Amino acid sequence: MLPGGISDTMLTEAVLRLPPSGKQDAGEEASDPL
Amino acid sequence: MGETSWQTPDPVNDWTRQFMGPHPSVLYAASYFPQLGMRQTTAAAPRIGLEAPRVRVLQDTVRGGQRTVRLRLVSPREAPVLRLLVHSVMGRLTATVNGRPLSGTDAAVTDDTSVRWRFDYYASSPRGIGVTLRLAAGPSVLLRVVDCSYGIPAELAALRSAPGGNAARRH
Repeated sequence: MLPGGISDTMLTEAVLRLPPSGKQDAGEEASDPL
Repeated sequence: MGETSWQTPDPVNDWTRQFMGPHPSVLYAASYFPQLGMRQTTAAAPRIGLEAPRVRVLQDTVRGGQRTVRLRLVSPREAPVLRLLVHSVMGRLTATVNGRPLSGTDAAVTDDTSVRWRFDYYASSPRGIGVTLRLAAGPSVLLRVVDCSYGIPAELAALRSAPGGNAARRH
């Protein structure tokens, strides 16, 4: 249910688990492809 | 490939029973409606080839004990609402969306759900949105990205009676 009283909605989801901090390469920054 | 299901936080009525069937299950989870409590009624739903939202980690760095995570969220099916939920306990969290700050919150405050922080973004563009999270460095962080569109898919709704239609009036 979305705010505003719309009761029929279709949802899709993606799940992402970030690793514990320090496991990734500090300072590395990917470029935004968009 | 993921699972598909019907879910409702409301009591099953004539409209939802058409989709749920006579023997839906009760699920205790905050998957999609964390603001509405944990009890959901659910049933298997047909697959119709929906594409899940995409989340890309652009940056994940730690400096001075603070973790900064920069994300790009996109709905390939161009759903009008994008939602980000954080399921991990982590203390204070601040965020910006497309460079604009959201109010900070203490994500360690517990309630009846596993959702510790969330926001909804309306009228997303096909390019999606950029999100930056700042939180204390520490354990892994579970994120869920949900996109929401209005209404029942036409190919499924056409098989059922509309709310207030014949099916609802029979009782």
